[in-house]
Amino acid sequence: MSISMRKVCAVVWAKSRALTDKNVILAPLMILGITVGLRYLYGAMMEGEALSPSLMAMVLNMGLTMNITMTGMFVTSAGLAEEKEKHTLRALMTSSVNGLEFFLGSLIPPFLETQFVSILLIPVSGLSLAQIDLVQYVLVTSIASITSCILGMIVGIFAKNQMSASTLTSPLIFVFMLIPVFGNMLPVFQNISRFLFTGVVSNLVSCYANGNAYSLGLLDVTVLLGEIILAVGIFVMCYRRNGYEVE
Amino acid sequence: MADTILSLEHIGKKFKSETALKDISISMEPGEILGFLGPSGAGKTTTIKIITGQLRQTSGTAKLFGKDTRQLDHNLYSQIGIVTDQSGVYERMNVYDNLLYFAKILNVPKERIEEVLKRVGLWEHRKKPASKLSKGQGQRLVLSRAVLHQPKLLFLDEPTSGLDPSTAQQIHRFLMDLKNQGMAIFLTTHNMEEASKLCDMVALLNEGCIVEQGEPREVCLKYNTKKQYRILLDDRKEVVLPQSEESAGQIARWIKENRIEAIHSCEPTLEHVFLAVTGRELQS
Repeated sequence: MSISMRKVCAVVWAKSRALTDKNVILAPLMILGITVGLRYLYGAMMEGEALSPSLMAMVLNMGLTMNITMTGMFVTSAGLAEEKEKHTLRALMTSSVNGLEFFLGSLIPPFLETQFVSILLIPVSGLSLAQIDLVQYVLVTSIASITSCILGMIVGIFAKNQMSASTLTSPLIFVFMLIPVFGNMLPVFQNISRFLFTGVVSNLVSCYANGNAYSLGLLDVTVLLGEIILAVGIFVMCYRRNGYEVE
Repeated sequence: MADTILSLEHIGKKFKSETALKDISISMEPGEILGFLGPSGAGKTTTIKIITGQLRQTSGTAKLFGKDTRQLDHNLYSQIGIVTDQSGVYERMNVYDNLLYFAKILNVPKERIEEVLKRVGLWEHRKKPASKLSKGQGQRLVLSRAVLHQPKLLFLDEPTSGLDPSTAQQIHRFLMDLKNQGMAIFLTTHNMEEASKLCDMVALLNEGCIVEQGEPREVCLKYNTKKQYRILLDDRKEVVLPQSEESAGQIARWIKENRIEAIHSCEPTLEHVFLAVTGRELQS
């Protein structure tokens, strides 16, 4: 399947405009709001004392996993579902845009949005940029965001409209968001979290908060790359079987 | 045959146990309007989907620009335009941006957007969100998107269905302009009047089969077995006379006496032909 960059850019142009829609922009704004709220809530609990790095890490963890799962998955799945609901997908596909061009064009804007918010969350959570290896942070969160966006596209294939996209995304969001977040409290969640791409992100943030340099272990690399490859594989399988629409 | 842009040979399509198309064979030349006529459920949309590679036929061969539609390259879509009731628009974008998006995809200069919007009477609405358009305006937007890149073949699935007569006429004029520019148009409709007015060739489709095809006038004359004339006289009395020497004398006398207000030959319309060949009038 060939790729025309002109067509990919056209889809990116349209999808980027859709990101400013009030329903879509709400997710990142809500995540930033919740992160700010949590930071001040923990601050209030400290009764005037400065927020410890581990608490800031908890705040960042919550915001980050929410952002990667909610923005990444929901925006892509809802975007694809809306194209089907409004009958614009077929118009696109019969206007010489192929599946790969649509896939890339649909993935790039939510991925960039997710990454932008992920970086913005560092100062919002209160953690100092000096405590973070920014290159490593961007690399790991990028892989996690792409995986999440691809999962969103898979959900989008099966969703008939935006409502069903929201319903189908919810269980995935809970798994990939809540397990790493509660991993610090429940050992069983911690064990599962090690095998989730959002769990790797969560470990990375906790390590920065403790003042340690984080070196990606074999398991982390396997989880990050394995899950993105798995997501691509599932997407390709679903696409080959159904296209973007399950009839 | 080198100019044939579309050919269907013995196309059949089954959906599990249901047969949608049995044996469809047609061909199209550039600048021709082909009317694919039939009631709802006759298989018109299924045929369009097969031709445009959105569905695979169960049997037969469909060729678009000489290429088998089962192996359609996506780039071939830049040579066709499609308007169906499933052609949606980006409701949050305004009219102009809806076309700008497809102009970017199809590498069409921006000047063409203005030209098309002016032609369909939407230029003054270019900044209006697509969600605020009336049904007729929305249909004109979909049509302008389909012809933006000046395709060689345009598929129109019930383009004037549910539109007011004035908008339908506007669309008819636009289609005739496109035809005169050399664009071939595959028109599906159940509006026989529309077909008679626009089409060079018609194919009457019933239960997945073409039951009659040809030039609209020829098809109608073929079934004009009972030649007669309907005459409205000055006293508002309407009479129907068969074609005969006696009738000719009577009509000549009325003309001399200046008694005839209106006179029409009674050849069947496409609608009558359809009813005759499908036998549906016997069931109603």
